[in-house]
This record gives sequence, structure tokens and C-alpha cells, in this order.
Amino acid sequence: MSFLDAMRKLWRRVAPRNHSDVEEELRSNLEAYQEDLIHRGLTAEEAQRKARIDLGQPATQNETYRAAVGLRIFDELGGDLRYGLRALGRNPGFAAVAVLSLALGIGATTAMFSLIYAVLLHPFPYADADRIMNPAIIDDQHPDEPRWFAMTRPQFETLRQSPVIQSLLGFAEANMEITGGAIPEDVLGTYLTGNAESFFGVPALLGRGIEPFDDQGPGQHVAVLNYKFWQRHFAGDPHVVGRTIELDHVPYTIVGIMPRTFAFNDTTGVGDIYLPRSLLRDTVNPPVTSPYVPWIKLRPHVTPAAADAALTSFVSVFAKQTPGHFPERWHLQLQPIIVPFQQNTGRTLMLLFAGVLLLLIIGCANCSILLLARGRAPA
Amino acid sequence: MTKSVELPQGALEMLILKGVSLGPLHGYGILLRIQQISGERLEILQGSFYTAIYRLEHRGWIEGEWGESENNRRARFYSLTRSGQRQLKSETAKWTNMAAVVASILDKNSDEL
Repeated sequence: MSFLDAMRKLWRRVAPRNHSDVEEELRSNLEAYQEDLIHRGLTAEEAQRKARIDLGQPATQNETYRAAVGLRIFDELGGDLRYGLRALGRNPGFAAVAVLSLALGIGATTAMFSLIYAVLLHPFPYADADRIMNPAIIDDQHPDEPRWFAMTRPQFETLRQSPVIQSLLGFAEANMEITGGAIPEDVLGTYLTGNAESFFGVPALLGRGIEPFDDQGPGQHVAVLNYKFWQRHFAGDPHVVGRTIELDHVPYTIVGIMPRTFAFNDTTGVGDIYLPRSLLRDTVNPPVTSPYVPWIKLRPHVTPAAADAALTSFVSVFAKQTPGHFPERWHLQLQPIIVPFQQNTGRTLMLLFAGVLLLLIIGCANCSILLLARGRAPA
Repeated sequence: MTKSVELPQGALEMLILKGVSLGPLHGYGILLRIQQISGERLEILQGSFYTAIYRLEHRGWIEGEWGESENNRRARFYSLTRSGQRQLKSETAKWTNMAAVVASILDKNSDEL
């Protein structure tokens, strides 16, 4: 048997039979039964009557068939749908009002939910964003003002050894100036450790991101552009990759452009230009001693509380080494990177969402009142 | 006239599978075959008989094919599919097992306990 035959056979087995097929079969069974009855001594007329009573009408047998194989629900659904459409068509003004009030409610709710989804539920393009943590130092005397802490290179290397950490990103921000053009322009430079591309898991839109070999030794003079900065400064020119940009009188080769969704650092200030971390000491005056602000990607299945406990011993040592970075009494709290967003905009958005939800409910109420009113109106 | 037996839930399906397993037959023929084997002790309501056939076919246990009946009438002949054979086998085993258990309990007298 060929494959096609097999398929046809399979289809015949699962597909419902059509109306005339079912009807014809019942008719054939009916006739066989009638003949049998006549053999047993009934008259032709009696046999026909009895057969009809026992078996039913061939014309309605398809309904019996569809009920038996569980297709009745689709038939009823189809009937309801047709009835509903006809009712709407009979009364277009009423239909328009009902559709409009529901559409407004649904549209507003959907738009609001999309916003909440983008801002609160899934704001980051990073891989495993729910495991990326912002280690905050909570001052026990002012617990509502979490602080970040910066680390020296040895501290950063030590922290990276912790078994709860899958990947550790260090970054630092610096205000820079684009030089070499007619007018100098202020930009925010963000220095990233060489593991940035694998930490974020966001591929560059054009070219490449900061890679480990950019960060080795004294560091390569390469730059990766933020999407908005690229649009603003280069008008989205795709040929900019490979060209040179001069920052604080030092030339850098542009090696890549990040996609629009990538906006590190999302909370304190979006960088315009991303540079390898190793360059920081060379370009800023006076030299920065603690150039590593950490973002931590935890290993899977490590809870923030467990990580707090595991990392506190590390950070206690740092606090003794660089007491200036820490308040007198503090504790460590890993915060998901979404927390600042929730604190800033979460309440407002939720309030707005509740508002549009109310709009939807009003739309529904509107519809039912319309229906009631129509039911009462004289025909 | 002999007393007719009423079938418990699901038994009709099993009997149809058995009837079809003895060789392809059309709907009314299956009914006659079952009644004949039962020694005419079984009264089968035709309405529920045909819906049972529809269900069995839809589940893929039997398969219908149009053909010619013994008196040259077009009729739909049913035969057992492979999954139908498996189903019949497992249903039969289940049924005999259950019947044996029920019978053994009903047979007990008070002095045997």
C-alpha cells in the first residue's frame, strides 16, 4: 500500500461521514429489516411501519450519527453563531453601539496590558533576566535607600569565585565627550567587562558586542553603540561599523551596534557607547580605584535569599577593605533588576490598568443594559 | 417465547466487536448474527445498536466499506481493524474476569464462610 493510500485510509477513519452516506446506510438497513419482517409474516405495510418506528427516519439519521460521535456541539455552536449574526444584521444601529462599547473596553485593556507586559513583566531583552540580580547594600538606619557598591579588581575576581554565581558582570559609567568634530558632544560611556556579550545573551544588531579579547591586557580601543545614540548621532547609518569615533581625543573603532531593545544600564542611566572595561584606568583622570559595579547572574535554582547568605561573607570582607563604600550597619540584599521599575512605575501602571478594566466592565454592563432595554421595547 | 436479557453498559459494543470479528457484515446483519448466536434470547434495540456502530467506527475499531449484500443490495460492510482486535481481546479478558468474580461471590452459601 502506498503512503497516499495509507493517509486516505487514516483520514476516512477519523473524519466524520457525510450526510448522504449515513442516510443511505440506514435506508439499506431499513430495507433489510423490512424484508426480514415480511418473511416473518407481516404485511408489507405493517413491516414498513414497524421498521420506521424501530429505526427512525433516514433523513434525520445524520443528526443521530453526529450526536453519537460527539459532533453535536459544533452543530449547535454553528447554529448559535448564525442566529447571532442574523440578529445583529437585523438591527445595525444596536449592533454598532454594542460593538463599539465592547471594542473600546477590550482595546484599552489590551493596550494597557501590553504596556504592563513590556514595562513590568518582560522589560529586559537579556537571557535569563529573572536570574540577573542587582546586589544592593541596605543601610540599616535608612532601609528605604538601597545603595550599590563598587569593587576593586581583586574584589571582583574574588566574588566571581562564589559557587552561587553563574556569571558576574562589572560595569562603570563615565561622562565623555565626542571630540574631533566641529562641536563637542557629551555622551555617557559605559565600560563593560569582557563577558558582557555572553552575560546579556543579546546579539548585536550590526557587527558584534564587547568580547573577552577586547578586554584583555590594556584593552582594545573599540566601541559598541547604543541604538538610540546611533540613530541620533549617525542617523542610523549602517556603514558606521568599522569607522572611527574620537572620545576625549582618543580614537576608537566602532565594532557594533546593539538592537533597539538593549538599553543597559536600564535603571541609572542608559549608556550611549559601550567600551571594554580595561580601558577605564587609562582614560579617566584621576584614575578610578573601584571600577566594578556588579550585576550578578545566579545559577539556576538558587534563590535570592540563599545567595544573600552565601555572598554576605564575601561582601563583609570588602567592607573591611574599603569601608568608605559601606554604611556603618548594613546587610546585603540581591534585588531582581526589575525591582527599581516596579518601585518607580508599578503602582501607577496598576492603577491605570484597574481603570481600563473598569472601562471594560462598564462596556459589558452597557451591552447588557442595551439588551434588556431592547427586550422591553414594544416590538 | 424465551425471556430476553438486558445488556449492561458497554456490553453491546463488545458484542458488536465480536460479531464483526467473525467476518465482515453490514449493520442489520451484525444484529441478526448476535441475536442468532444468543439463541434469540437477546433483544437489541435497533436505535441504540446503530449509534453504537457509529461510535465504534469513529474510534477506529471497526471500518466500513460499501459493497453488495447477499440479495444484491448496496450495503455498508464492517470489518474489525487491528486496534479493534486489540480492544476486543482486552474487553473479553476484562469481562470474563469480572463475571467470574461476581459469580463466585453470588455462589457462596452462608455455611461456606
